[in-house]
Amino acid sequence: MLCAFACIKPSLGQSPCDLSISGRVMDSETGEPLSFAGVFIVENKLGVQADSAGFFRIKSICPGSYTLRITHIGCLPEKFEIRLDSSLNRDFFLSHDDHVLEEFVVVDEGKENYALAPIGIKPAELELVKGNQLADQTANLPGVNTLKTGTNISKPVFRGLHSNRLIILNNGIRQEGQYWGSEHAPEIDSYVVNEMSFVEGVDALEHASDALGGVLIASPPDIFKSDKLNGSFFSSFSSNGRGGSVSGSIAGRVSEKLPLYFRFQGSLKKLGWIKTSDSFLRNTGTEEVNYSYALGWKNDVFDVEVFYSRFNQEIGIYRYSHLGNLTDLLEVLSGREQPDTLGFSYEIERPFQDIDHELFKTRLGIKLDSESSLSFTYARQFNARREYDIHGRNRDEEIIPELYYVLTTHSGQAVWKSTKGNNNLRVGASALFRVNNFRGRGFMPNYRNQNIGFFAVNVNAFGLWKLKYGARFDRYSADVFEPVGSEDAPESFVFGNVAAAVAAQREIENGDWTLSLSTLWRPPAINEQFSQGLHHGVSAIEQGNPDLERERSWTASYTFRKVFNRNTFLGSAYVNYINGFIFPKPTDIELTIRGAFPRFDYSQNDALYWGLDLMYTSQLAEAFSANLKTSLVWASNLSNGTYFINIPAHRFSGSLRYQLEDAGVFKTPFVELNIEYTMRQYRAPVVFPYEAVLEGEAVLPESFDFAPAPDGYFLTGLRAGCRVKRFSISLQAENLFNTTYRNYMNRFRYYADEPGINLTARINYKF
Amino acid sequence: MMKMNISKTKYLWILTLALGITLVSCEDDDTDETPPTQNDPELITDLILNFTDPDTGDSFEYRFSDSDGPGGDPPSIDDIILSQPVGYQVSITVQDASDPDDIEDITEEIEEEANEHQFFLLVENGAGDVLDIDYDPTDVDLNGDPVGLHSFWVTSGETTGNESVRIVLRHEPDKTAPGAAQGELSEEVGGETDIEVEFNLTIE
Repeated sequence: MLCAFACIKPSLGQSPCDLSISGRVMDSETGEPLSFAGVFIVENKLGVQADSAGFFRIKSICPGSYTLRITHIGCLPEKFEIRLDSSLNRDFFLSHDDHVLEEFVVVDEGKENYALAPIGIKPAELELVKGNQLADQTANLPGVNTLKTGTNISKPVFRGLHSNRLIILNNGIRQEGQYWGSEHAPEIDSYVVNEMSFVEGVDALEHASDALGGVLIASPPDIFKSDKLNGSFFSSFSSNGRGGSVSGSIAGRVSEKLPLYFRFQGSLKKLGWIKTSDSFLRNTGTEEVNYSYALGWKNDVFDVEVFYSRFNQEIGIYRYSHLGNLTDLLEVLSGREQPDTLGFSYEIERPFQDIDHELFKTRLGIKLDSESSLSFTYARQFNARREYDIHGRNRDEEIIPELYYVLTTHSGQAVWKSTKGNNNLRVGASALFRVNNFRGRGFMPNYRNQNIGFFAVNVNAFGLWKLKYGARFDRYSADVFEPVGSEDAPESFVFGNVAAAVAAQREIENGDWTLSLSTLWRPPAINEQFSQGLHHGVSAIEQGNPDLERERSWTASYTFRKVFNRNTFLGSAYVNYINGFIFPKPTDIELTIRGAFPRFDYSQNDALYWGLDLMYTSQLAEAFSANLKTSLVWASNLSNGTYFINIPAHRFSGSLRYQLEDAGVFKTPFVELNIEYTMRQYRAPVVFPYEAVLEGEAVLPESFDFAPAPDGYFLTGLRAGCRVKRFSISLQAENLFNTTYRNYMNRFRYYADEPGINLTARINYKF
Repeated sequence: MMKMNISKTKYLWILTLALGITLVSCEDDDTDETPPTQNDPELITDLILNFTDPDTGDSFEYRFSDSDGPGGDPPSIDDIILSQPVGYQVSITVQDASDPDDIEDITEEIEEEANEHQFFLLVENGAGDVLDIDYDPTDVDLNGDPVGLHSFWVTSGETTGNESVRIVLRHEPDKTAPGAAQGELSEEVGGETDIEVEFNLTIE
């Protein structure tokens, strides 16, 4: 590593033909390395053979555009178009699929380069976790955690930040739902998603200025991927919950003459009550019915895409998480026995949530010339969320939700891209219009939002260096209606500001490092300004604050990656200072007809988040590979030195994988052992001094939690799988030893243990 | 050639179907319910204790009122002032009075779901020495267990200053828990609290 830094040559003095291409060849379906694959550059007839673990390296190449042809026994050869301005290190995926003809995968320069490639999950890896919730599927990525509400609601946390600060890009469109609360999961069918990654800094500017916690990009398969009729069937069956999910898709090109492509997809999910290590959690079932389709048409100049998806979900909320007041919570925390829940059921009773989400998207791409292109995107989202309390009132036989939000969002974006020599420029404008209406309890007022943004991002490559920089301006406005303002005289707010980021990246032998600096901002969200009322599950009154100002982050991060021999190392360190960080702060004890409750007012303090993400993968021997990973995050309220609640505890995980010999029809069988240790969150806020505060004898702490952070825990998992013809089969055991534990990142940790052992069988078929 | 035509027709069908779905779906939602604003169907703002002195026929009420719901303005709570020695008949009324033009009586709903509800009337801070509260034995649910909407309050001495009465409404309590039938609220009762209010008590 020292040598790598010492060997930095002035980039301009670099001789032109000393670039290299290196990487690893893998199976796109299984993620298995393809040993001894042939890698060949068509233009200059340079070629090498990968080693037994799929690694290869071709040296002494001049800058330019090349076609890489990769071959492997059992796969059809595939060609990859690459543009070489600096040494390239990336993974190449070959399809074992005998239906897919030799095709060109056009690599978008400046994006797919190994060094710039964001941390993400490939389709093959995603297949092994299909059927899990979307956020849980990302949990294996460095820096990623999940924030849960019970067993069925899970949302991603990146480097300690989530909800309003983490933008999810579903199929290129900013996901718009009531995602601000921890009990609101992203309303996305995970079976539509083929690939996921997190981006931050310069790469996030194109999408949003308010993604202080990064952007999670969830993409479906490329509609123009294959001319042949192709499809897939996924299924996942779990012992815990006694249910599972199935999904099917079919895609292809309408005819050889007509460049019209289509894809249809649908999925169903049903799970019953989840079991902890010893008892069933009443009313934790879930049901989903989702479908989507896409149509695409393209020629040399234009490409047009239409996408539509519909998501419908019903989620039971754990029956005994719904408490009346602080006394009830105190009784539960002091060990009050919950009524017997020894039986299993599929029934979804009150309290439950019923959610519909619809996305319609259309995109037009125009290739202006060989160097530049234009794209226009329009999307409309419709989100209806109905929440039913434990004992609501039914009017005229109709079950009426106690909380009902309807959010309609229209968004549009125009982007101009230009690649000239070593320069890659993107300039764009975006607009968003949001209308939210509620019925029932007025926790959130009715409102309308407008957002207009302009951005420019430039990537410059010279020699071993790459410089990325960009800026974005956004103007956000909000009109707030009943019950805060009225239709004629709304309360109005306008915020406008600039976000900017710069990153320098340096290629080193078999790797790179990146130093990135960014400043982003976020206007206060409507819930932070105007939410008002009682949160039943958390025994707290939440009060918005209309006087909130924007919050602004100043982030520095350093990432280092290197492949040496059979080892891959990735390390990131980051510091995130947030000025005017908005959070609910305990302010008072308030008396209501249900008794006394602590009241949280949205306030602003300065916050500091910092952390480390480390990952190490090693091919120990021919058939053995190991992976070690950890994500550490620390957070402090700089204004008063207290801790924030729900900051992920330190977690360490390791896995060992053994690749067996093929046996008859069973191809590429493997066994994998996973061990994970999560520490107790020792930087948790103090425990609420109930008795003293309720008696008026103690001052309310500046930050507190209702219960101490749960103890640390070990979890063990096992996975085995193989392929039989076009089927891939895998078996997974989670929480193998049926450990009883509670998760600090689950809001229901006050009431219930985490799920016990779960066996999942997955059978996938692709053609 | 023939085969190709068939597959073309098939694709055309799929295409037509797809467009159909688009149109239907979009139409569906454009006309979709934008829910009009409406009050919280579960909001409780007022609890009223209606006192009747059967000897004199006098009746009066004491009220806990938080008309803007949780948060916002603090609630107003009457002090209960009683004479002694008197036996009062007391009935509880629960209202949603957030809209003064449309006061909703929630007592009926509690009566309808009497099996799932019980009021506990707790004498606290020494109030037990001067006040005795018993359920009206005729005020029972279908299982014969008390509901607590109607009760008898018997005063037997003067208060000294700190005495109070706490009224708790539990949803889905275990009415068979020890003491529950006599109005004792132990941990075994369980369920969840719908109402919990405390009144200062003065007996003159």
